[in-house]
Amino acid sequence: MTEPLSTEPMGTEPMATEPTGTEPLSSTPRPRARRGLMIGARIVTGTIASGVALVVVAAVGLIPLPTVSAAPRTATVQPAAADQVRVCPGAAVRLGDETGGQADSAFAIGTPNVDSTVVDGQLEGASLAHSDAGSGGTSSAPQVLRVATADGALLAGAQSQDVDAPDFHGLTSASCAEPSGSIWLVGGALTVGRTTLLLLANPTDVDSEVSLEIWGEQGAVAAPGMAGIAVAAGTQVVLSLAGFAPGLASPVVHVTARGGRVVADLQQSVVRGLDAVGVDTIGGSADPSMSVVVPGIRILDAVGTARASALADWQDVIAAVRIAAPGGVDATVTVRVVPEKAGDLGTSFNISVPAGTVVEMPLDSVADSETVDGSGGGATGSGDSAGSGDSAGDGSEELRLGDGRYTVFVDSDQPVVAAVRATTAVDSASDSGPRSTAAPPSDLAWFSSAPALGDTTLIAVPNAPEPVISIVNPGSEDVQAQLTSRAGGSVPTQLLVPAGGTVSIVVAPGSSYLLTGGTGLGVAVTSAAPGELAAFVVSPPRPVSGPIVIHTD
Amino acid sequence: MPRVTAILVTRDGEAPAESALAAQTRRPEDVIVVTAGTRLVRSTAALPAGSADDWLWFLPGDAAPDPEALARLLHAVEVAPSVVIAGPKLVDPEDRSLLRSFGESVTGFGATVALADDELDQSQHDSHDDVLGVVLAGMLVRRPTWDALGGPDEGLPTIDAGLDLSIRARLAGSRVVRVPSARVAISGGAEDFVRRRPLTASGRERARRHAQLHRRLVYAPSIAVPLHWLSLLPLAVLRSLGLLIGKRPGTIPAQFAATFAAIFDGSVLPARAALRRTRRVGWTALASLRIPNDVVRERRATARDLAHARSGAPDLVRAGFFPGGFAVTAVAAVFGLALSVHLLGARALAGGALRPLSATPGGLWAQFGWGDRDGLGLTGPADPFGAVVATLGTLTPWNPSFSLVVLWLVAPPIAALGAWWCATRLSTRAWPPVLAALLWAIAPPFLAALSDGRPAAVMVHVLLPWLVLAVLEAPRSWSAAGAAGLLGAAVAACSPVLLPALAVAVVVWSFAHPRAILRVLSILLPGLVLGAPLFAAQFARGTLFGLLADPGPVVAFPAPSGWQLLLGFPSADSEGWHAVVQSMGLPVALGTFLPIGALAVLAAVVLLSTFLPGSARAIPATVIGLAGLATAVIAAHLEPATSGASAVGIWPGSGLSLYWAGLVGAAVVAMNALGRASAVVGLVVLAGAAVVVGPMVAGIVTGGGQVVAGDGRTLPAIVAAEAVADPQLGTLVLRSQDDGSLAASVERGSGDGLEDFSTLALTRPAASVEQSSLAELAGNLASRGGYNPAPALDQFGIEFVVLAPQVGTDVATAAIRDRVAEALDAQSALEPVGDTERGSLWRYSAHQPTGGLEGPSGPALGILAGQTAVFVFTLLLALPTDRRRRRVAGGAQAEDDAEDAFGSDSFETDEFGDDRD
Repeated sequence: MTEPLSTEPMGTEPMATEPTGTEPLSSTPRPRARRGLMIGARIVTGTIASGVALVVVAAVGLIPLPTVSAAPRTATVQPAAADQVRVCPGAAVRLGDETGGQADSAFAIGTPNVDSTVVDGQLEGASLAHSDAGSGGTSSAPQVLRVATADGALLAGAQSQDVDAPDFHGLTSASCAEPSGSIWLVGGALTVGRTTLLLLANPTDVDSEVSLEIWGEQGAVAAPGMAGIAVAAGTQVVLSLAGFAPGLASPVVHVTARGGRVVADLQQSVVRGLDAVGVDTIGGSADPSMSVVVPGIRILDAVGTARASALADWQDVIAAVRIAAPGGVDATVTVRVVPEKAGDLGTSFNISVPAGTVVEMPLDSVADSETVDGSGGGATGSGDSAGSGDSAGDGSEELRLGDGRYTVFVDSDQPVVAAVRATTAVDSASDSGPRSTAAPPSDLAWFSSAPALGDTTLIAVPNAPEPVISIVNPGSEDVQAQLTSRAGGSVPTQLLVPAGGTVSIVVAPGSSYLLTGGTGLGVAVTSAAPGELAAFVVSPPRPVSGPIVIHTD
Repeated sequence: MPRVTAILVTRDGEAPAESALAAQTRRPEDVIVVTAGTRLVRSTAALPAGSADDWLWFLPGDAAPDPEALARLLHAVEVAPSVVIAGPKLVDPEDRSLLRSFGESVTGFGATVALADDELDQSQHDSHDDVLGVVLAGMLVRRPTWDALGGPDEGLPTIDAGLDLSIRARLAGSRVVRVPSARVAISGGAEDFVRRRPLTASGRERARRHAQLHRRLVYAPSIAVPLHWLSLLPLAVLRSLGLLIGKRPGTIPAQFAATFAAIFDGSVLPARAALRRTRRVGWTALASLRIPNDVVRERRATARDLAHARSGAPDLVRAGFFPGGFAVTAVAAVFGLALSVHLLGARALAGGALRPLSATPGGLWAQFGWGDRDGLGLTGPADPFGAVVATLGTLTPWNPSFSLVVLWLVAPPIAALGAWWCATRLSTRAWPPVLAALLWAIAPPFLAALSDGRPAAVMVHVLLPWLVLAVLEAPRSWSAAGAAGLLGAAVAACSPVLLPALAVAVVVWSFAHPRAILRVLSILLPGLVLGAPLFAAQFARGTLFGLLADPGPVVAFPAPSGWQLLLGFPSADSEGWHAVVQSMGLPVALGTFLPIGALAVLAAVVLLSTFLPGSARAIPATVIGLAGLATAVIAAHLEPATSGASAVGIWPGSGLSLYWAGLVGAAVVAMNALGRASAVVGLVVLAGAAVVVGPMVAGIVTGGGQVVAGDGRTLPAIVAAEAVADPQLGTLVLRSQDDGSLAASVERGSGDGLEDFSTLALTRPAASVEQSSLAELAGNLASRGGYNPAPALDQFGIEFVVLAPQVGTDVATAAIRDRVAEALDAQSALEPVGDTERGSLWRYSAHQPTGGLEGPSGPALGILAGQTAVFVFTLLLALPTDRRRRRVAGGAQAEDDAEDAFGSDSFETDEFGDDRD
């Protein structure tokens, strides 16, 4: 841009001259010709300058330019792995001692059997140091299983307890679960005779602050004390759900922990009249999802159970599915009850779950008269009844689920949580005698929904009668998996789990198995005996904190 | 009958005075011609011993004495036997009524005073013939006295030789007179007598000072000599400062040269001995012949007036500050108040790139220089911007952060005043500067900087017109050059990306003024000195690219399009036009074209200015504007610094300020040439610009800007409280990033203030060892796992961990934040403190306060001292000490000199004082 200047005549050029320099023109009158020349020169320089300016402006406005950037300082950090920890819920707990005194205090009942197994690691077991149930440090306390971090290390544990105490009778089993910050518990009841306790164990060395969300048939429950529940490090806290929501028939609890992670379980006990007829421990369910699966539901003594349901306060022995829609939108849910054994009858029905409420429906509902049979699901059944002849119900067309193992698929348009309650009762009139009014031996179990597993899962089988491992494939493709007993010298069992189907294996009590190739499968471990029922689902290890990208400023 | 020997001192062997001597009515008996450089004592020693009535007459070889000169000199000494030295009236050979020298005296402090110096001879000095001394040239001296005194002092080769000889003669009890009737014309200065070559200006300065110091050491009582000797160097320093303030930096070397010559002056002791030997009377005998102090002051005042009267043409009549400048400043003040009314009462500002400042001015300055730059042990030089921030904060020492509030409030009026003043250099009319000030106050980059909280860009916009003003004046004024140096350093510190354009402009300007080339080039010096350590550090690391990074916090902004840059908008969402258009349901493209149309008038006027009279000013203004535009475009496409996961561009606003300055400058020239039409055209231009910034102004006034009143903290209050006792405590700050990553940094004490940010750290190409350790710590703290953070927390002295609050609703950011919060909650080494508005806080209770950092090293202090020296030097130079000579007149146009360009009379006026020789 210096050219335009240099083409200027002297008078307009002193840009490059000193002010006091030779500048005669400013003081002497300019000749007319000179003036014309200067105007001409101005036109030339002006044209050039304007042209350049316009070109630059057009270039800036129209030409895209690349950007030169410095690279951020990036480090990908693989967090150090932590020890694997599992916590068993511990012995059954009662509020108040056997005489009914000290109703504010919790007491442990007996001692559970704990079976634990480990792959590639040294198992360290310990009792939780403190418990509200007064069992801290004893074998009745929640057992903390720990294995040092290592590649391929797996840890699993299960407990079972055959409770027989005043007001407590029944078989209960539970998985030793990994501490978590968010646990969904579906089960329990707070109606008359039903007691549900919330067991919170904090095995970490950081105090935890637990908040509860409780939903019921009427919607979300708001009560004082549901937030800021302190669970000190190494402590088990026992709370009665009735303290928050007395009389609630179908509670669903979401436990969130800040600080130390916790293991949360519900413990339900049932007293019908004066008879203690059921204890169960309800472990964590799968997180809210559009597709929930509850495997391994065992219907046992269907006839006796149906008969018992005629007794006063025995109506809830009918197997039922409990579904909660914790979100803010009503959920339309399709429930499919699929028998494991081909030829058995299943069913399918639609229900609507209003937002924030819990709905409980008997499993043998026939809302749309559609029945399902055989493993593989989806097929429409013939409609004839495979159930018992005698019925406590009113309609002869009513479906009756026969003895066997069933899987419940819950598909929804909104995230839901679900679980199935089943009860067994020994048929006290099996010899077709008069209907007894005495309470038959009975027990209930909550079948939680099973989360999808990873490739390799270690399964601990509790020392309980007639244990069965039920493996469900909720996916749309068949899965070929291997189940290997951890006992010495055993041969892997090849399992083909069809899409939407379930495979069950009867296993030995107290054994342990390694399931490989089981990505996406769900596993429940159930045990049953006449008048005894217990179940839990196997959860995958919680995902360890993955690598994280850190930018240092 | 006296016998006179004339001694002619000649430089080239020729002595035209010889013929003049022949024409004397009383001819000297002998004439000796000696070559300049010969010691006079030696030439007289060769003479045959004479009687008491022998006289020596010293004359330059080319002197032209009046025919009666010697006769009258002799007459004067004959009537008074006590007179041993007589001096003639030394006059100019061309104009014999112009006095060159006619007697000398000294002040109370011993400085030489010429009794007559280049003044018309109106016989004003003729009445007093008794003087303290006369110069050697033309001196008639009695031979025995000459011999007894030993001739001139060897320590005084030229200057003061005659004065010293006269003083010694007087101390010996004799008299010295000047003879008004005897005139001798000499060419050249009297002080060049006996020299081979005339003294240069600086040589004369040095010799004069040296002569004074030499005489001081010789005349002083013995007991005071060591004190005088010790005071030489301190005095030289003090005098140098005075010379700086007096805008005579060129004479400082001469000062020191003379001082060192005096310190090692071996001729003092012989001279003292000679004086002691010949002295007969006390110094009090001379007191009446000295110049009293009040007379000294009077003479100095007269000399100053004379200098002013001599320098340059009379001032041009310019637009007066009243009413135009005042009105526009007042309007801008009201405008600024309206923009920042929601900030009234604030003690600090927050938002955008604003941060609080250190609580004390000491803290502000402490970070400057060499030190820890990232809280992790990266030592390096501070950003030059730190000095600007520290200077700013020192203006409100009770609460440095408050200075930013003040800046936000007063920036529009100061910017407008600067633009108005600067425009008076480009236009002699009243209206164009007013227009310039208004356009400058509503410049889009300025408003965007105010709205988006860019303190550096605001500073640039405020300082830029003052810088241009000072640079324009610099060729003729040391004061302006000094001010330009300081302003240029500040502007470049605030926006390093402007430096290339500014430096090129200054260099071109210096070539345009070859006589003042060094003075103009010296404008660059303070900025270069200020930035040199950072340059060296970046150069050594191989990341010169990082020098362009904006100082201060790295804050991302949406990249502007080319059209937005052309409109002056530095960031894509600052204009507000697209939002307005969308809210009115109009096509989106209108959001681009409406403001372009509104600004087209200004563009047309700028292009027109290149055709109008004055285009030699308009074209450089346009070129500067294009340079600013280019700077802005380049800045928008360079991302030298990183913040978290993303590289962040250079704020183009400062380049756009320069762009806008060029546009306004060219428009002013056009207005000046348009005559009566300028009012209408100017109003249309102003209206167009106002429309362009309309949505933005509305957004700021309604509180839509990012700048809000802050509480002076960047970290939760509990951290600040702890930092009082433990100023080195570290706080790990974790910020979740949009891409699901996590940014980690360590802040010391109560948090990073505006002065604590370092481009050296933020442009680092790769993580340091400490940063890698920090990343590992942060990554594990952000994860559940078996990591034990205690060693790393101890290593970095971290007591608190802050997880910044969620900004926006981004899912990935929220997910990573939840993960980190959960992991920190589960970390047994940390205890949760709670959630604050500045983020969730955890505390590492096992933290042990560490001692303070070690102080800066010796070399670092040396660098700092050097920088300080340069800035003190420049500051003293910039102090406007000369009397202002600006003539304030009404708004009327004085004369139509529109055809003249930059070098014309319109640039004669000098706000800073005129130092031209």
